[in-house]
Amino acid sequence: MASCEIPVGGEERMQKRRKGLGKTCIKCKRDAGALVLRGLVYCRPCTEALVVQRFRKVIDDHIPPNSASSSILAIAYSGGLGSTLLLELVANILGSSSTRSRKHRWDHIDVIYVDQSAIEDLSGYQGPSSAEVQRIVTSYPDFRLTQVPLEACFDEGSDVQPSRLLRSHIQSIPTRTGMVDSINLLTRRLLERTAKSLGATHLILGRNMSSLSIALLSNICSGRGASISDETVASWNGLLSFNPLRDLGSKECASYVYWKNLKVISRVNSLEDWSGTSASISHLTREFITGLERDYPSTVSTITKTCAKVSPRGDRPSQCSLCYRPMKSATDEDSQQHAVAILASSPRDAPGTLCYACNVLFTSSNSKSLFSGGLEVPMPIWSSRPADLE
Amino acid sequence: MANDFGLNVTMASGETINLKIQFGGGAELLFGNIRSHEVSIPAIAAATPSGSKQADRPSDITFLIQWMKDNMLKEREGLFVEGETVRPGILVLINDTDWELEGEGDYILQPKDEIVFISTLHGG
Repeated sequence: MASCEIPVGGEERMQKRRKGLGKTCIKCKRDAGALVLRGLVYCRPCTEALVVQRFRKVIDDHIPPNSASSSILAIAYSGGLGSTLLLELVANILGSSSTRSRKHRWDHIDVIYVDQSAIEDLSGYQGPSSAEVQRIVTSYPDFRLTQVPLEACFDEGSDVQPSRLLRSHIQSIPTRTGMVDSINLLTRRLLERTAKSLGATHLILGRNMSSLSIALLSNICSGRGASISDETVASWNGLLSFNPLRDLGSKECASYVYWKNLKVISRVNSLEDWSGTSASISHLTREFITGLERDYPSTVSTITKTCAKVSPRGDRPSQCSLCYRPMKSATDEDSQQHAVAILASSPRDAPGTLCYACNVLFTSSNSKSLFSGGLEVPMPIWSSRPADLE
Repeated sequence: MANDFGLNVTMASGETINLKIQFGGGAELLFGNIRSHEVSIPAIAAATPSGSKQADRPSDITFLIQWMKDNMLKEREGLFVEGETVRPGILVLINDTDWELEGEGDYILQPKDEIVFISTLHGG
């Protein structure tokens, strides 16, 4: 029978972080090394070239170069490491006015910032101020900034303020894992909808190999395994969203940002010092990945590369009305009925169909008492309009 | 700056080394949101709390991390230190070179060294 234990001598065979590395750059074989990336030594110019080259490759893979028609690019900006680097690379590589390097032509480049301050106390995340965001984005003259509050996910037309609807939506989720998952999915949907409303054809996200691995693993743990491929590249209503930094580790991203003297303004979530049962799956996954990256630096890229090969079996004809990921209607049938039964207490917001993971958000075992009390769970604009195919 | 320290190993206790400490990637938020610091630390290190390194050795990076934790860190030390080293996700550069190439915690500090701590933990 197969065993999960590492066989005798197996640990020695795994590629551990090497000590006593050579000091010359592996690429130019001339300059002194500045950085160790996945066991290989690179000098600073070669590291910077590597960052640009890998960024450009993913862009070219998703946006055909020299396409005749011009388009609008949207960049999701959070103030974090990845999106800070993304702004710099887009401004200097894609937006470069030099005709020789300019393969892509953009009518506009829109930067979208989702302001989560309405739920700061619930999420534990105190984001940068609006002025800070504005200062960073306006330092790139070609970018237009759109700041949108997370509560824009909820209907303004109702008699309750959208921020209160957002808060009670988040508060009705019984677990911290579900709360983090929900904030992520609302943010992503809002980015997509905002990008679309600005007329964008492409939305780029700032997740690098490390943060993408964290998202992939925690999504699998949350039951989003069936839509895992959409985490890397997703297409919705003519808008393609993807992660141009997916082939770059956090180490080269952080060094590049430091060398270019760029400022990262997002803070670390104050509730993420939590340990044990109160921590979220996404926080525990981050601890795991950062540790893995230090001790076995080559393994993290395996996660993103493996997930890129995973595709769901069969057709996925329907769409979850909350997360908008494609889902398989036949296998999810049971859970849909379950969800409808539970959420029927909120007739105004009667949802269409929920995927397994969105269902679990609201129906974890300890939430039963919450729903049996007939509590209304406000749902975002898009899910309360099942007929609206947007 | 007039530094007249000579070799570290011969320094008497009470002497100090001047260093430049820089933060990047958001790590500065743990240190009063100031990115660049000029510090003066003892030239002779104290023993590590676990006893893994003895006292009276020339100050090394391990000691600097301990010293920063005791003297500079403003909040949430778990985001910077883990045991006697930096936590995973904090990248250390010694004079613009990865500390993995310089012996990590065992690197012996020299006057005017520039030590950079870059966080990779500040999200996407």
